[in-house]
Amino acid sequence: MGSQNHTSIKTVSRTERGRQLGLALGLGILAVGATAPAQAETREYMMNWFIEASNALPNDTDCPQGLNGSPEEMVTAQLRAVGLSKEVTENLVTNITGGTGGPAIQEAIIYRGRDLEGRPMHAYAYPVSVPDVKAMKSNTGPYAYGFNLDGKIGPNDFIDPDTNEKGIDNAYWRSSGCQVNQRGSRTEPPTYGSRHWDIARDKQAAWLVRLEAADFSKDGDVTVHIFRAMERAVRDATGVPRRYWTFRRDPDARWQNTFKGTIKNGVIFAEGERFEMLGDPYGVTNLKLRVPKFRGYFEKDGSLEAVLGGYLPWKVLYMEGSNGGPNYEFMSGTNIPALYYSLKQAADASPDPQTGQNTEISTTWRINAIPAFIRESEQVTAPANVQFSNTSNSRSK
Amino acid sequence: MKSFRSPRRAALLAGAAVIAATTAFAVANFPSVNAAQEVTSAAAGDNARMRRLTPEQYQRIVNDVFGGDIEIRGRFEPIPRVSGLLEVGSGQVALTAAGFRQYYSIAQGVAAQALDATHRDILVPCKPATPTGADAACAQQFLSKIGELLYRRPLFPDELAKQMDIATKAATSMKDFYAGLTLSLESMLVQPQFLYRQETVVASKTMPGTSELDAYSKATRLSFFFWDSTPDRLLFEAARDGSLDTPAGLKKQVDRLVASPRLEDGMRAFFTDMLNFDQLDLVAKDATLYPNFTREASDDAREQTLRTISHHLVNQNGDYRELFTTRKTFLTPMLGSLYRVAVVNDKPNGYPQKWSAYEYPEGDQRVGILTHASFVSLHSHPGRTSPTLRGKAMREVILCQRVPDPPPNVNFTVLQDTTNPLYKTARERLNAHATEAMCTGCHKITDPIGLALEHFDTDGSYRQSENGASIDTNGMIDGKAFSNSSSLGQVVGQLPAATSCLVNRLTAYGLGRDASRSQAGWTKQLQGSFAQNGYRVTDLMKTIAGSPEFFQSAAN
Amino acid sequence: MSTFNRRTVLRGMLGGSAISVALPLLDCFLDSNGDALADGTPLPKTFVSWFQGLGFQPTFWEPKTVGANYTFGRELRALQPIQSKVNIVSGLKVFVDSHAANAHISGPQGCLQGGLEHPNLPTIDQIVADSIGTRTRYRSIEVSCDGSQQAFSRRSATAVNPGQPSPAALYADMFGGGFKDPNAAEFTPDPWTMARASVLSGVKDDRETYMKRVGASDRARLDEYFTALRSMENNLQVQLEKPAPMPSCSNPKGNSFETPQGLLVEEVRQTHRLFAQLLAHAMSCGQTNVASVNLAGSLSNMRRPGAQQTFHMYTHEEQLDPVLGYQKDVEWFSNQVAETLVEFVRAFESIKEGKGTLLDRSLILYSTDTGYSRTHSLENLPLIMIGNAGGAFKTGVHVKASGDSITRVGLTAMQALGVPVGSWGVESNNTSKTITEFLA
Repeated sequence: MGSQNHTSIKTVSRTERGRQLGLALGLGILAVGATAPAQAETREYMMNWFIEASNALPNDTDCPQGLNGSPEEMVTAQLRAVGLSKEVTENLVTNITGGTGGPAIQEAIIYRGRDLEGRPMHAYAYPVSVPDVKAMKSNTGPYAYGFNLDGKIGPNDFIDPDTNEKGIDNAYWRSSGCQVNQRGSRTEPPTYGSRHWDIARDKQAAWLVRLEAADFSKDGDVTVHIFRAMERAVRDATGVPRRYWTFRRDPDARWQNTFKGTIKNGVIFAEGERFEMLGDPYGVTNLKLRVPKFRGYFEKDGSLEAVLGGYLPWKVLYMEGSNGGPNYEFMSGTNIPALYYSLKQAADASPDPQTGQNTEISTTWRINAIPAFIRESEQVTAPANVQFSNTSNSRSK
Repeated sequence: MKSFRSPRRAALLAGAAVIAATTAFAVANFPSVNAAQEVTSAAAGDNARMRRLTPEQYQRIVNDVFGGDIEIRGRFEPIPRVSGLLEVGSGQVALTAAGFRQYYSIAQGVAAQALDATHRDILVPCKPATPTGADAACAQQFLSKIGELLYRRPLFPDELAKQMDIATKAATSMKDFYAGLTLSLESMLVQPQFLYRQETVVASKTMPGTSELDAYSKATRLSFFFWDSTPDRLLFEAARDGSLDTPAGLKKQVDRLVASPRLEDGMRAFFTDMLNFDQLDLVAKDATLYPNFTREASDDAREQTLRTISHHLVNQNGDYRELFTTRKTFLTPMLGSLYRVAVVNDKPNGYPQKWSAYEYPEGDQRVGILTHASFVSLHSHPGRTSPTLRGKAMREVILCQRVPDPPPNVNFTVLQDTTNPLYKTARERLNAHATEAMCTGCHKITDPIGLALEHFDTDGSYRQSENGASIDTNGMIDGKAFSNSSSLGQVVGQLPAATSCLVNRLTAYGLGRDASRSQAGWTKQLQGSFAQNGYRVTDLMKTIAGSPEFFQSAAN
Repeated sequence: MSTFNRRTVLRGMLGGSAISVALPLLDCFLDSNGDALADGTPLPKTFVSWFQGLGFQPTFWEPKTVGANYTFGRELRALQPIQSKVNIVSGLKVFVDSHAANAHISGPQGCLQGGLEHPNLPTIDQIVADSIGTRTRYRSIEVSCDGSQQAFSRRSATAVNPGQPSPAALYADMFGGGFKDPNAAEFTPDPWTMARASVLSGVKDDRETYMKRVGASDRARLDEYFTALRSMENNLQVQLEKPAPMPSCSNPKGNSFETPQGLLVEEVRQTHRLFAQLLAHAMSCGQTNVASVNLAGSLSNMRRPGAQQTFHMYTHEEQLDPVLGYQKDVEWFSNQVAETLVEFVRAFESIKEGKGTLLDRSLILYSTDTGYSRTHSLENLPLIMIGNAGGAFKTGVHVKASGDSITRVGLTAMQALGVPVGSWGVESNNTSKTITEFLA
């Protein structure tokens, strides 16, 4: 990023932070959790990207059965499975993609499930009303980003391409890793996820990352805070979020996530009790990760690149898809009832005591964060040593 | 008469206030300028220069007269800068056919809005006998009042008769009273009496044997000098009743103009002109190298400097020289991301007020208005800084010194190649370039002061080093040494040329031309009083406006 | 008419009564070039804003060389036969500033309105229409070829022009009963224009009075003012005269303008062909000088026969061909779009006017919403201008303008068409840089 390098934020942050702390003390306000005066250095970031940690291998060798076909193929298979004729099915599928089908055709697609008497049922609300025609193909590759969340090395586990660690739990990638729109890599994020976040980032409050350590250039303890801002990100002249924007931390306790860990050879390894992103960060109404783990890398351009792993109730991921309805199915190439069966089968943690069915699925997310300033939201005015007032406010442009 | 911008209702009321306020001018009252004076002015007034309204003045007048919600749809023909000021250029610029066409199109838009169903009842002080035909009496009430505000004096009888004739004929043939007014109004808006600030010269009452502006021209000159807009009701009254021609009456009006919050409009207009800030609209930076420099950021940068100036000179009545050393300024989050400082905007999302007062800490290099992104980005190239352009701007804009243009056939290659490993910093490149004898002379005038700002990149952001090499900001100006941008500000502010330049520019801005040779004594006197009053610019403006020389024609 | 005192005549006609002038169209009115009238008045310039979303795939459309005699990339190869009429710009972008970026919305806003999220900004065609569309029966015409009523044309947020989806309806309206034959004898001037001409004439007559009231040094400048005013007055007078006859005008009656409404590419193209023919006739008959054509919108739902996916979905879903490096199905659509654009140009070329064609006095501006459909990027948007704009342009030139705002194209187009505008666009998309390489 040309003239911007990361070294300068260190100096600026130190001064600013001292001032901020002085003010906070002066006003008798101490920020909850996020302020830790013992830390000598702070680095502050705004989350530029938050999407699934995709790892498509060249030539699709991780999907030997091929990638999941077009949404039309999958819907066709299901419509045929509930007994519709070839002609009727073709008519429905052709017209819904053409966009001229109208409400009747939309409804036929939505109500393609059947109850025991053969009556139409809502296929997204009741995915089991659609037969499992195994429409989604699983990812069988050896590599995926993530963490060994359960401490075991199981048959379905992956190897992490960054660390070469075995026993990586990322069952979500097993389930959805052959979806066309989820195919991507560290440098080329998957189409649907990146597009979704690119839009969401303009419309929701930003998410922030604050790192605290005694000295980032040495091995030692580190604390990672992830929380929400009061403001949205703003773009620069090249269309990407601006660096060094000032955000206020939203003090709501529900937005605060803390990870403790170490820096080793410049890489951050940290673990937390829980991780929550409320709001609508990724089409997922409430992204809650159990036993979250965090691994971060300082990039040359000053940004922070990280992966975040943890268990998520798989029905939350299903809800993300089912909310979208037919538009989501045809735009994203995700067959919703097939997604239900696939996630259910891939789920790998927290079995239901009654049924034995796993309720959670291991996931990994990729974060890219760019330098920013973070201030407490109570700190509403300029630094305290400024005694003059702004009297020119009637002429704001 | 405040300048209302919004909301709509307030704007309409403002327009109404103008009309109400001016109903005091009975139609029978005109003309106060009689035919005899007219002849005098033509004979003696060879030196009164017509100044064409600037786009900002046009906008402000339209909003003052018709309400803040009237939109200007279109662009104006540009005005050239002469003697460092557009305001001087406006007294020399011609009008092209295309420029007239733009004015006419804008005038049609303004007239149509002013007389549309929403505005006509507020702006027209009477109802026509019939809306589908002419009503001379009602048309006259509207046209004489609006005409006085637009022409900045009561209309001559023939002028009013002409506007009435247009309104009557058009209303009759188009069967619409308001269509008649619209046509008459739009024609007023393209007539020279409106587009040009014309000044009438009469024999001086205070300095016998010389000539000076008549009272209405004085009122106009004062109003534009202090407020950058058309005279208000009280100023008109003072012109009409003759009090403006007396020293006491003049002082009373000047004190009132200075005390008004509208002084800020005038102060901003002057500094926008003096600092060439109109050109900031054209500044663009390489988006890949300087992604934070967007149009919004450059708009904010201009506003930052104008706010800093306005706060210091108007609100604090501060010392002009401190503009080059002040650490106090106003910032937005946008500028914060450019300067890499935290600027919290605690206003609700979408709230228009986004400015926070900010004071840079002791020891910071960002000191004084010359270090603002506005100044350093304006005088730089799209992809790199230019110590030469910055030094030249300091000489020409701040110190009123002339720097010769570069000679033809100069090889600039070494300057433009910022990747040459031999010359990592601008100073090294300039040294290599200025070995050519024909270049050295001028670069000695510009570069040392420009190099003091090298920590500020072309987009206004701070940089510690250039291409990994440390930046040397030491230098000398007029025998005084400085070590960085902070001490440069100290030195520049103390230069006699800095304060005398301000006096000269402000005088020329008010007069619409450089002070004449015979007025040299006056400007010298002004410099003395500027120093005596602690370099307070508002006091200087009062002194200028209180002098008979301010209203003299250049022949004197 | 020149034997009358024009002012006297006009003052008597403020009511807008019809002026009947017997001016039969004779071939001798054309000068030796045939593209202007014998008195030297050129036929009016015309402008078409032609929009299709989703752009082309980067590195596969740009000519490899700049300047003249370039070769199009594979996606635009259909344009090669008309290359000498085509100007193309690469490397331009839409600056997002702090607005939300959504290519389908931001792209057209940047190209056609000159700024993002300023809903009141008029589109280029409407600005142009203010300049060259005031004397025609239709100020501007907007059509849409995909059955929708979407047109990328507006005067303001509240005056958004709908697109006419039916060629048959446009035909009936324009060439049916209400057809105004430009070669007919009847002409009704605009009463406001008449009044304004009269008013300006009056101002001009008071010149001597003005002169007396200013000093000697200002008289020269006042003289310039009156010169400018006279020019404006002449301009108004021209508008009051019967427009020039249109030698190539013909009513395309007898043709069927019924079209299959549908989203198959061939259906969209058929609708487009009919509109192209109608618009070419409309312009050759002086019915309008400005048009906007929306082929199939920004979120384009055009479909390929036998395939289920729409154009838009392919851009999102189709994988890059690992060997070729582009989306193959998307390219099929791109080629279709390029061929369709060529058909539009051919329709204009088929109208012969003197030694040249209608295209010579036209400017057709292709714009789009993204520089890379797969990512919906706002960088490197392909922009194409076809036609000489009545001699204002030289054609057949490729300009690489890396990093500049897309508004340079709109500004250049407007200036070529005679719109008095020095800069255009808002925020970072503001520019005063025209593409001088195109100017004749």
